[in-house]
Amino acid sequence: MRGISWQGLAVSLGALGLLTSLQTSDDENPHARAPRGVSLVVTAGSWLRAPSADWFAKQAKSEPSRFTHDATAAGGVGGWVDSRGEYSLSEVEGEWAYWQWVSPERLTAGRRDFVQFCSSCHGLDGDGYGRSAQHLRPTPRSFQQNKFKFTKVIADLPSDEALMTLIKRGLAGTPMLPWDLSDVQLLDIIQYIKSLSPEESGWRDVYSQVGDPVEVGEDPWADIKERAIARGREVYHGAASCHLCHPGYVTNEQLRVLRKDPEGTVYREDLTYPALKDSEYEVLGRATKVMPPDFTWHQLRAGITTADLFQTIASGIKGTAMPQWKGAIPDEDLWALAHYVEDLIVSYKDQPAVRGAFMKGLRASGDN
Amino acid sequence: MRTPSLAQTLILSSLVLTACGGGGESSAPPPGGGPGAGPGGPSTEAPANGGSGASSPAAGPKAWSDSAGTATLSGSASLAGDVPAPIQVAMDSDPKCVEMNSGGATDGSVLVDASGGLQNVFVYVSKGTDAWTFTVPEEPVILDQTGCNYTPRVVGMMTGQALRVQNSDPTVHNVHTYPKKNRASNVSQPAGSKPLEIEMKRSEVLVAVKCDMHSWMQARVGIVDNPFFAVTAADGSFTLPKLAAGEYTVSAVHEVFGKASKQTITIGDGEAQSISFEFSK
Repeated sequence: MRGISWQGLAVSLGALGLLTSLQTSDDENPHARAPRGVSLVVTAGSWLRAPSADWFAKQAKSEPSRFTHDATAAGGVGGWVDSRGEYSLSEVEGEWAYWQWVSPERLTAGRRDFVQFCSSCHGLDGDGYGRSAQHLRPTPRSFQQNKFKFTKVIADLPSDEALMTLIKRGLAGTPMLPWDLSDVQLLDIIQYIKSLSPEESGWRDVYSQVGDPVEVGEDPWADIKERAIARGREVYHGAASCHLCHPGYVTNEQLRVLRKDPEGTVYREDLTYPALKDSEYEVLGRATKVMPPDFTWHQLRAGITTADLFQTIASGIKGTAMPQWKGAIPDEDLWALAHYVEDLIVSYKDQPAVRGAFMKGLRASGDN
Repeated sequence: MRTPSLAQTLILSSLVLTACGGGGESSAPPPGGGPGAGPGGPSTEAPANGGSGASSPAAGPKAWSDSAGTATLSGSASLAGDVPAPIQVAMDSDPKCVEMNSGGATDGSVLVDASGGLQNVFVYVSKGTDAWTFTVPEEPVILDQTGCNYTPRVVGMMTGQALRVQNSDPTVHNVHTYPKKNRASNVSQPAGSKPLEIEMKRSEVLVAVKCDMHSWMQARVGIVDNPFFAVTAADGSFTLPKLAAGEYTVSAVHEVFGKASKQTITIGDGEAQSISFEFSK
């Protein structure tokens, strides 16, 4: 029954959409002008930034029937071509770039599901301010900002797979639930979300790069966890100085030893608390601040396995104070940090008595 | 107003076909047709690719040569009203920063000398250079982090030129850029790290660079399509040497006081002219 009523609505609104688009056919950007608030039908397709050559090569291995490397594609220089004609290679300002064509039919399907499942929080136009958004913390993401916190991707934008994984897993401790939709539905919704990028930004920007989550690789500390935790504690309070934003989990005296600072060095007064930081996220034009998590207390959003933590630390969290650490410190130190943070979570989180005693011990040490 | 592109024409025609024909196969634009013209099609003549423009049509802009620039524009920027009192910055979150600023630190966003000269104003030619294409300098513009501050605080560079951010401090920083038209980035840079190279492919004035770990640390980068830009010195003065004769619009922007009103000048070969920009609180 529901399918039929959606279809009926789509057909009648489709006619409306056609009229609107004919009236504004000389507009520079008919897609962005489509009055989404009233029509469920998207009348024009979109060229969107697709994943990189590496992604195509990887997909081609698992799905050889779909992707072919065509030496004659795009003027004989060669590139990846999708058997459905959805991806192609194109020359942009002397650089070779990948683009994906998304048809209006597909965007319409994505919009229909978006309106049903996502819009109450993320807004009909994806501005992050739907009917339920007013009282939600953290605030729902605006898809017009092209920034995604927890996709574990270093590139500017997450690949479809990275977004799909995020939606399926949900974000722990937030109103973003794990979504049990079909892959087809999710991919349609994702295409629609991507098309909400303002002109020349995000998925509609020639220079943006799309990437997969950071490769996990092998944990160099797998058999020597205790040493990893000790090393992680050193890096956390030393070279990486995580305690500048997150809490320090040591006394001032221990910190002086870890950092090899001279006797009498003073650190921030609230060392055992996180420090509130600016973020790039806006709600109705107002900037929001973000509290870096206290690992012994707050729920982490994007997983708490060693591998999850490794990926999140490596990639950083887009739009926030948390930078990319991959490349800044050696991978084995990234893994050590992941082990240390995991140990903090396992040892203290959701155990108020144990945690209370631990933090009280740090704070009572005299100068904290 | 740009003319409807190939992609848009195809999108429109496929839309009409789909809508009238009842949803048949929609034909995707051919590879190579869409992206360049569709999202973010290059709207400017890209002088960035100086090397590949050898066979461009003769009617287009000419390659700039320094010998054409014989005129000099100089001037100054000033702030109206009282000289603001310096604001103390508390660096106590990081003892390494406190150590390097033992005499105390003040906020460097507004620097005014006794006679009102305003430092760190980014002055650039915003119009009048369309007749030339410019070669983007190979060498990067350097932004250093010393004493838990950016040095210099304001830098200018050409579109496509690299910004090399280096950390000379014995502590960690994160280099967080806040562009609106370019790719954003946020990468950490512990003590002793090798420099980061950041590229800005579109002109944008001014892009903020901040360190989240040390919230007082801020810099600004002005990115323009021509080499005619300058940052005012401690007394508010600036010089744009090597301008060719012609009519130009000159703009000036300060990170706190925003834009001063633009000025249009006409300058002849070998001439020297002077203009001034006034900012108000």
